[in-house]
Amino acid sequence: MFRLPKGKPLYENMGLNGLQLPDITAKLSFAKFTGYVHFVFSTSYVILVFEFGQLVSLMSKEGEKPPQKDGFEAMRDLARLITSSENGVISVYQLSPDLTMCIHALLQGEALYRSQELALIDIKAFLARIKDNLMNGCLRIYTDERLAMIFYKDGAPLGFFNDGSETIETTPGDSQHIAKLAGAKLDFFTTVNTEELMSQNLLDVINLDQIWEVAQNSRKAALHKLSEEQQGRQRLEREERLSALAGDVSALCVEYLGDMGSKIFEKEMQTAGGNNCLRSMEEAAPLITALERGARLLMVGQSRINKMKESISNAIAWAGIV
Amino acid sequence: MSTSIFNQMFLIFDPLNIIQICCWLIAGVVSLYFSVGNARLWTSISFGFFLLMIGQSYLINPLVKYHLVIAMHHVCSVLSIMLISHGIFEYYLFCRTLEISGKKQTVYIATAGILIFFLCFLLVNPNPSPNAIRNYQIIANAIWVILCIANIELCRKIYLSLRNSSIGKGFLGFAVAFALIMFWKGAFLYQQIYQWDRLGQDIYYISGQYLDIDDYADIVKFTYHIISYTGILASMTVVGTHLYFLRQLKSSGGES
Repeated sequence: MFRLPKGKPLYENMGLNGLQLPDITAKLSFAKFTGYVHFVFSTSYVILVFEFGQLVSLMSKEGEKPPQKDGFEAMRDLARLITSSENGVISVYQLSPDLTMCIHALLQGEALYRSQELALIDIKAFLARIKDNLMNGCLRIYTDERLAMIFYKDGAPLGFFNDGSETIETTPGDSQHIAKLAGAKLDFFTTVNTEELMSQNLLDVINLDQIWEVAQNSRKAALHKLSEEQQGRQRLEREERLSALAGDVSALCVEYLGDMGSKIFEKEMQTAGGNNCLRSMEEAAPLITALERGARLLMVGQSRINKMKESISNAIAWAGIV
Repeated sequence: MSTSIFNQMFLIFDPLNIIQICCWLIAGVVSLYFSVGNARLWTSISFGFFLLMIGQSYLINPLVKYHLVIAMHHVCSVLSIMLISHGIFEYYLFCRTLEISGKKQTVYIATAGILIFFLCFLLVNPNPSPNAIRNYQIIANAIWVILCIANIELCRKIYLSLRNSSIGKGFLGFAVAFALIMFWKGAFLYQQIYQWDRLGQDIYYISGQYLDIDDYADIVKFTYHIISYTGILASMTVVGTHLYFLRQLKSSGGES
């Protein structure tokens, strides 16, 4: 995952429950926020970079393998992740405009060098070129285990960001050491200056309200479908339990009334509207009354009838089908 | 065969008749017990047997010297077999369709209504003569024979449906009872058709006509035996069947 300098943390690891994405961007725009917003989810993260309240870039990355997305697709991913995820957190870090520009370069700047072996380039000449051309951007030096970043504005280093640190430092630190390690590589991303960056506000291009509404509707539809599936499963389970209960009650009728007992039970159950009448004692009362009437016709003694009624009541109560 | 005086001809204190009437009395009381708290079809059957007891009580009723009374006895007798047959048929329908419907009050009200109607009918018409009484009896016996044949078949089918339950055997008992009643009433009807019955003989002799009963004395004697024994056996079978039902009702309460 991207490691970025934290700058001045305004919010850190705050839960996303109840937060609306349009409200978040509106507040940051109104406050002319400069810095970046870091959304972290289970397997994804999204970074929004603001410069004086204007959204200058955003990037989303899900998992390890898929490529990162930006622009409209990243915003759509963010809306979807906020509405569907339960474990998302948001962190807001305030940075200086120049550093924000460098962060933007890192995320979406033009890559002059990418994964370039340090041993194969003249680093001194390269650094001189940065200085001479008054470049803005981010130089990233890394190995498989170590990472160091140098932020440049107008060719001059703004600050250093090393492994283990969370803020921008003014000294190179380990960056020179990392550069000397075997297999060290280099990325350099350049971008336009801050004034030019501010001319592009992605919030003016992306219809955030619509994206948010679509994401919410999708979430509701997904929840509704899930609920329907769950209800369907519950209904199926209830049907199975009712069928089993009907079988048990039929067996009780045979035990107390003979073969005619099951026929009387089947017929009276159909009259009562099917096996749904076995859901509760209140619903089964007319059925039990009809069984009692049938039992009298079969010359069954009252105490035996009472035992049958008690057995059936216990079976219904034990089944506990609602 | 000796003739009898009209006024005393029905007051026959035959021991077999006494046993018979006692059996009908027991059957009638037990039947009434069954009709309490039960569905309509048992009410029909039970009330029918109770009316049968009323109908047969002419054997000991001192008021039978009034022809109106004996006519009402025959009406009760016919009504009883019709009620029993109605109940048996409804029970057969229950075995087939499992439908239990109707109100008991309908049975009571209809029975009372029919009895009142016939009472009025008899009161409106001239006092029945012995010949009219005999006609009533012939009609009653004919209805009994026909409905008994139907009831035997229905009881057989009910038994096949309820074969695995204890109550099925009760209906087998009913079938045997109806078979005996069929022979009993059938023999009586046979006698009446050929005027070999006592009242028929009296009417013949009073009118001065010749009756060739002596040529068929053995047959006449045989029919009298059938009437006597099947009558008593039928009453004992009916009371036995009712007591069997009562025992099933009491004993089935204790089983789990």
